[in-house]
Amino acid sequence: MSRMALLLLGALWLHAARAGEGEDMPKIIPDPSASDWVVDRFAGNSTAGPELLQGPAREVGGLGRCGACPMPDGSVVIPFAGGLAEVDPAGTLRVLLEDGDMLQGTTAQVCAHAGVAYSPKDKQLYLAGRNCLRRLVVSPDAPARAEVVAGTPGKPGFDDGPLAAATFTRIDSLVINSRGTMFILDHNERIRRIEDGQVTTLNAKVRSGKRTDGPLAAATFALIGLGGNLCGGDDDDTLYLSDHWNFCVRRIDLRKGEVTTVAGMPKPPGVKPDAQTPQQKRFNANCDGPALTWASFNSGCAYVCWDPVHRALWCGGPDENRFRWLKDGELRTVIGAKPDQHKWPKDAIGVPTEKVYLSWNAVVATDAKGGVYLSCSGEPNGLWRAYNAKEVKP
Amino acid sequence: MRHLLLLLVFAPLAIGGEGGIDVGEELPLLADGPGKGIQATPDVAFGDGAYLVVWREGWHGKGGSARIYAARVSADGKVLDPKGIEVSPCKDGVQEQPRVAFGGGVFLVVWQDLRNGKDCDVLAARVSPEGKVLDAEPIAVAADPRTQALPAVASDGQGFLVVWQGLVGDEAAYRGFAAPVSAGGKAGAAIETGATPQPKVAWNGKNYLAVCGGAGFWAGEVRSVLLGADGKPAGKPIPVLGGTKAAVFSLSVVPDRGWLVVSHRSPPDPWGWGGPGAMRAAVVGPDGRPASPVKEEYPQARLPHWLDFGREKGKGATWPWGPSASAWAGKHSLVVWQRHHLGGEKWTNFENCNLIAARVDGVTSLDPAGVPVAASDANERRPALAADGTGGLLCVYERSSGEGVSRVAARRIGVR
Repeated sequence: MSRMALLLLGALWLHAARAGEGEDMPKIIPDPSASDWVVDRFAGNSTAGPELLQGPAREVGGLGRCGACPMPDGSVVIPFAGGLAEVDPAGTLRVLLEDGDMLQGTTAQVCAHAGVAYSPKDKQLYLAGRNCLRRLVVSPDAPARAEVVAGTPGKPGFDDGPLAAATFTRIDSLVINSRGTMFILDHNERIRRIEDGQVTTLNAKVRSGKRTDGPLAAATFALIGLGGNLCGGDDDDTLYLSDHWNFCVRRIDLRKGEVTTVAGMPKPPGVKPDAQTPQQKRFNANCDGPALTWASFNSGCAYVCWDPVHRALWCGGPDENRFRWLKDGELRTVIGAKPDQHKWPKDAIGVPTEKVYLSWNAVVATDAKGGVYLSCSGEPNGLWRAYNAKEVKP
Repeated sequence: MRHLLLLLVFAPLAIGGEGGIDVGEELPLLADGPGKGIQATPDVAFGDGAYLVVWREGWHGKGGSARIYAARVSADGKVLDPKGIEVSPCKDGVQEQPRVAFGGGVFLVVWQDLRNGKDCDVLAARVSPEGKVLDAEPIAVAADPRTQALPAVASDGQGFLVVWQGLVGDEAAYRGFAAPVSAGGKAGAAIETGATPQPKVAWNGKNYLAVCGGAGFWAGEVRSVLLGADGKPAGKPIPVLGGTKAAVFSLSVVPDRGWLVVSHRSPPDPWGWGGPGAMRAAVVGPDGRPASPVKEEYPQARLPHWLDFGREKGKGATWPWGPSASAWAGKHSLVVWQRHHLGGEKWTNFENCNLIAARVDGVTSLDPAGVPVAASDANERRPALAADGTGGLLCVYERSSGEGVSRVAARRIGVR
């Protein structure tokens, strides 16, 4: 399908969606900008095998599913299962920290993307360690170290208090705002804040499995297993949470202390599939459309990532094979609109988004130039960077 | 009389073994090297009465200047080069992933070298049995533009065959290559083998076998192809072991039977989709074709060719995963592999790694429970093995104790 045809089809779908929210609402609604996006392989090369290599970032193996943390100097720090690497602005990948034991343990399927964050206040890089928070200490001619700044390795728990006395169980997400305040999603259950040397827990009801909006202290989530992450939002007092097993995205207004649901249609009542309405059948089927009524995620909502350049929230489930964003109250497909997994040029650069096929995927980061970092644990693994070719240069 | 001789041979093995395996005390190879406490990725070969152990000395990541070091260890376990041997001094970049073989009266050490600061080349240097480096300038086995990496080497007794993976032109996918290197230090032309990624190679007296491991997360497999003495492939690589994720494997010769390939199965995951963990053996016959199962769907019980089994996730659980090593020990193969203790909230974190051994006949373990080779509170990883031909072996490995400190150590192993 040509880009022009795709654009036309997308416009027609959007028109239909907005006009009637009818029963013929298509599953995939391309964003109007979809045909302008392209995807480059950024780091990793799945034909290189599982052994880590160093050199040109697109030629190295061993990254598997990984994360990305764009830094102010133009480099990108990549957390992967074996440690931490850096891609410099010239595109060369070197290892920073190889001892994966110091980082939060990751299995091959689980993304470590949310476990690294840069603090603009103290200009330090913070890492999710096992039962602890660490800070990267870089040496000019030796491996970096990851020193503990909060919690105790090997001592899991949820105790609040001073940094050294607090305990953490498993840091699944780390978010740092411009004031240096840190927010941690701990073991997919508790949202914890580190401010002025103190750790506090913001929500109280855990493991309820329900979807309750309202005051943060009483709000409920259904975060199971190892899905779900926390990300920053459009200001220092906004967080977004992929509420995995509620199949929705939650917005946390820290100033008001309130939680609202911003994407993901409600789970339909327990009627038989053949008795469901067309709208109900869209649940758990990764459908685009109006965010709270017709849009859905597949196998839960697994990730959220705020895009400050496009003022949109990238979000999706683990089995969607495409990348969507929440913008202006609608969920739309931006990348991977017409996937053909057997034909897409896996390791090329400048791939039109309708040819991109990445399974078990996530948007793991965005950068200040409008770049969007994509990762997947299927084949081919590694890290990609998508961008709108009309807006920015590679 | 024969038993008495065996007793005398293995008398220095201080640690008692189990079954037919005796494990000696740990030998540190280079106590105060220039690598500031970082030694990694060891390999070992035996020739002319001694082992040559090679490893990466120093930090190889950003800001690093790692070099390839070597040390000889006598057949009875004495470190003959306590200060180590720097194989290829140079000013810039890092050297890593060393491999070694013995043939034609010399050891050939190969490694990948980032001295140009942009991409890796495959270089080599010969070391005499007396511990002298014979090539002041390294032999350029593969120094074309773009990444040429992950070399492995074997010998047919006269010369060597080096295999590696490399990128050509503006292609995005790696290709597998081989090139002969003579005992005199002359590298021949590269031939494409099809064996990639991470090729390994072994000689059985008539042919080389190159084995490679797929990078596929869901469908990774180990494949093999016969190569001639010049590296020319007899065909395309064919599957040897399937059902693995991120295939990591070892290869050794089994006289008169072909080759032994050992590879792990799936990692532990919170959902159990990958099934149980295992360390598995497969035999490739002299014709280059596998003589054991290639595919395993989702077995729930230990299969006959599984040397180790990932137990239920819970307290005390262990999981075999990662690099292994094997060598022919006279009557059987000896295999050493990584066994991790599991921890974490979902019992999917690797908490501590030990090295376990078993004698293997065909694909069947003669020591089903496994014999500990190195099982301390530190992590012992990345084993490599070489045999002296009389039932004695040297196992070398990384021993890391956290905070980035890693040493290479060795233990003698005797097989009865």
